[in-house]
Amino acid sequence: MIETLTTRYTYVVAVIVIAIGLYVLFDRNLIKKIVGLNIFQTGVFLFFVTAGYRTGGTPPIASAGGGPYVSPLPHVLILTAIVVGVSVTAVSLGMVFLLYETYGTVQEDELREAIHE
Amino acid sequence: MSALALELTLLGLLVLTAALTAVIRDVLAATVVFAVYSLVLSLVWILLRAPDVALTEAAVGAGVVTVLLVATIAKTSRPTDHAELSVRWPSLAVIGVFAVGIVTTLPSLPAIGDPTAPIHQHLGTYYLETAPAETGVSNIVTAILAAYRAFDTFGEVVVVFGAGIGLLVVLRQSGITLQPTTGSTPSTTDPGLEPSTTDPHGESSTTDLGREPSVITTTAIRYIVPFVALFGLYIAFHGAKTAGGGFQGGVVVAASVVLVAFGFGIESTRRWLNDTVLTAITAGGVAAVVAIGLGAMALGGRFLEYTVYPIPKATTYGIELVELGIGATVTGIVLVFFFALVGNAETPPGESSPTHTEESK
Repeated sequence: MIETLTTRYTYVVAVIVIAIGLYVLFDRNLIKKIVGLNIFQTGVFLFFVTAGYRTGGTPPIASAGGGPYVSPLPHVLILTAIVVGVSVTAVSLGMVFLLYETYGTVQEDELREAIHE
Repeated sequence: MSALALELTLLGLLVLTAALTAVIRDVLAATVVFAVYSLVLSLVWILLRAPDVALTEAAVGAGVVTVLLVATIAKTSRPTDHAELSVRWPSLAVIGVFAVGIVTTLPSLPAIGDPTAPIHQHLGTYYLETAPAETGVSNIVTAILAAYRAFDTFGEVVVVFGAGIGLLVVLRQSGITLQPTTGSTPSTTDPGLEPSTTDPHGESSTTDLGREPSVITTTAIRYIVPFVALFGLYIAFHGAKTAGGGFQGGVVVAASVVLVAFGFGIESTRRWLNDTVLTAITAGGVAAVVAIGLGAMALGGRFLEYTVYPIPKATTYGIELVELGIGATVTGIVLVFFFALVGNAETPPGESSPTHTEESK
């Protein structure tokens, strides 16, 4: 347990962030849910980039006699994931706005009532 | 030791800001705390030696996402509860079980920074060893992004482009288009709309920001914007040599236009940057990547196989052109997101919207 905390603390933080993201996803407010989605994904990003880290590593920008470098592969994957994430956020916000235009609320429970009426 | 202290402080701040975002009831306040969270996270990326990710996180997470969220909050409702902070205990119990369940699996992962971990033995190491000689690009992240995983990146540019179109399709249903509404029609304020500014006379103002921006704001923006735009272009063009690339540069360039819009009015900025230019930038970027890819096929290679082009250092130029294409598309799409979500919520006069009725009272 103690060993986990001292050698894998960033992973623990990643799990906490993912859990908080999940918690925010349970919110009744649709915009808050989207914020939760963003927090959740950054937790996953933290997990990936931490996995690519190596002690004493330098950023993966090659120079003569440089190194050792941290693993560049997670960086590439996360870079693209961030951009896809903002796309998802934008489209979901558009949908939330559309729902608001139609039903006049962004609260999940009120929305459900309005739809059933 | 001080590096460890810094790391622990930043990680602590990260958890604190995330938790605050979760417990603050007010959506707008939570969004602002979330922007702080993103900024802290970009510092964590730097500590983890991921400068490319840090640049993107700062520009996208703390910048673009916050602007989009605030815009949507301003145009929809902002429910005000009496409680400022609240904790939903049942949800907390569920995620507690979830978190403990995952944490118990952590001891089976290699320790952080362990050079003998599997991730440092295979593909990543191969790229680090061969990429500089093979591609002539010293930023390995850019090399992987635009050369080794070029097909993946191409698909992703298409996804971003598709998201832009998707957003326009979704919003067209509620009577919004990218077209500027001709003539500054005073907005007949939505019943639930809370102006994002404190000005009570939001509807009689000359800009769509709710009030005339102060001269300090416009002057500051006038001086800052050229540097922001230049910095964005530098990141985009120099992404092969140093940290940066099309995604990061594109977002920063778009951010400079967003600044202009905040200072000088969103509608007028939209008119200045007319739809044709925006469409050309956005589609042109995708088209450039497709053209480079198909050109390689025409010369007998595979899609995006740069080496078949009969020019010296074909891979290096291929990577840089693809990065610029990505940059153009990302700039255009971020602006499309911005204008679509921030733009006027009204139907242009003379055009009735058949898809929805005015039941939003």
